[in-house]
Amino acid sequence: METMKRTKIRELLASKEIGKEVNVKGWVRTKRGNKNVAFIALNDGSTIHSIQIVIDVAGFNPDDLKLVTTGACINVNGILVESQGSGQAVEIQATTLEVYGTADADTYPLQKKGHTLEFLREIAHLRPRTNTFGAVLRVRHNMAYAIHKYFNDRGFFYLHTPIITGSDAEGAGAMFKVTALDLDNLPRTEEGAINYKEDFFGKSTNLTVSGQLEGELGAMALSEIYTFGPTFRAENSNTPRHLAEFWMIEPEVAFYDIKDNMDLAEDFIKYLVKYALENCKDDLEFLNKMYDNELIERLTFVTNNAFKRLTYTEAVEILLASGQKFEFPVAWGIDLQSEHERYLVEKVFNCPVILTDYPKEIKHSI
Amino acid sequence: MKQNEDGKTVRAMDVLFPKIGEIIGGSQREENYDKLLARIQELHIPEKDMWWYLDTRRFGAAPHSGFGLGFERLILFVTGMANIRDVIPFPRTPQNAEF
Repeated sequence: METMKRTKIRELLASKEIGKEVNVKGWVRTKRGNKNVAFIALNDGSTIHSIQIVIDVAGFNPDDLKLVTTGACINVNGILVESQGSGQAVEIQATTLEVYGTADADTYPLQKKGHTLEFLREIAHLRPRTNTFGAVLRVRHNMAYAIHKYFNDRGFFYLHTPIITGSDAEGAGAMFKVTALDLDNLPRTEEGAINYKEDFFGKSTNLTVSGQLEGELGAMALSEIYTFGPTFRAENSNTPRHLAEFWMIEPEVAFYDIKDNMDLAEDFIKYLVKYALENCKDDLEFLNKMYDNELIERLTFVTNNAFKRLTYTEAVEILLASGQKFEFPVAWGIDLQSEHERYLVEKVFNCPVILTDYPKEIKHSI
Repeated sequence: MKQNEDGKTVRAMDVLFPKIGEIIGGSQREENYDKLLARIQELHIPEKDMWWYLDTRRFGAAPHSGFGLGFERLILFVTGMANIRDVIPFPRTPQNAEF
């Protein structure tokens, strides 16, 4: 078929160029119709919305059309026309169609019925093709971009701190060891300990748990820096809030005191949330509808209201005076548990909270 | 972390969010060489591993602060998803390194 430059579905759905000949490529979400006409919902990930492709069956090879099933990847030339029934302003009247890759209806796991998030985790190689993960991954990208934009616009420099670290002093928990030694034949010292002098780096090394210490070295020269990279914790925490590999953003600023630090944190988060509201509208509306009906309201609230700031000591006094029964009893000096934190945030203040001035015994990092 | 003058507390800060809990942790750092060294010893961190870090307090030390924001916790908050495994493309968790 005739080769044309591809247009993204996001651009096509916003296009006013009715009658224009266009090329579109993507994955079939659904196909329905009758013996005369077929309707394909096609998605290329550029937006949560699919575009409708209309096929007049008589003009196409029936063997090709049989291969157009949910999950197949197709290449379509056609005319952009106004749409009556697709829920979008425009659709594509197909003129030619090529099947790039088929998806056997008996074995392709993402048929159109709704799948549980648990099931989708087992097919994480395919879940980006769902509306939910398309939305999440686009929001994730936008947040990563907004983080760089926020700091760049304010004169911060992006500092790459090492992934492999020779120190285990960050005080943030269990680490993954990095070694090139033969684990079946470990070199030993005379005392019988593992001899890391024979390892790749000549010492024991780990995956980083934080870029902070090296970030400080950068701040002591460039004044304002930030890191944004993967960090690792070898903790056996199987909870909905813990990952063994996750990403952290760590700004480090010379001449800032704790008050400046709080101001930066609050401004930074508000900027990011506002950026999402302005740039990820379609995806957030989908997530709001499908998963969390208060999502957009909550995001808007955060951007418009000051965070409540108080000291650890004040927080403990509030918790003690609350009369609330907690699983872990409250006393000055305890490490606040999530039940205490959530009570402060969700019951007492009903807004984000910044706690400061913790007892030194419960903060183990240097 | 910089110690306050009360001798009991440090200039640490945590930002706590609805539904998520701690989303940011940070502090004003200890810029005083002697106090930092004492803290390193108190935490039983091998001093010989920290010579380069301590050097920044020997040469041109300055007050400074910073924090860490967990990216996935931010994405949890912004998307309203409930499980952190659903806001990273290929999650790494105990007993799971598939894909």
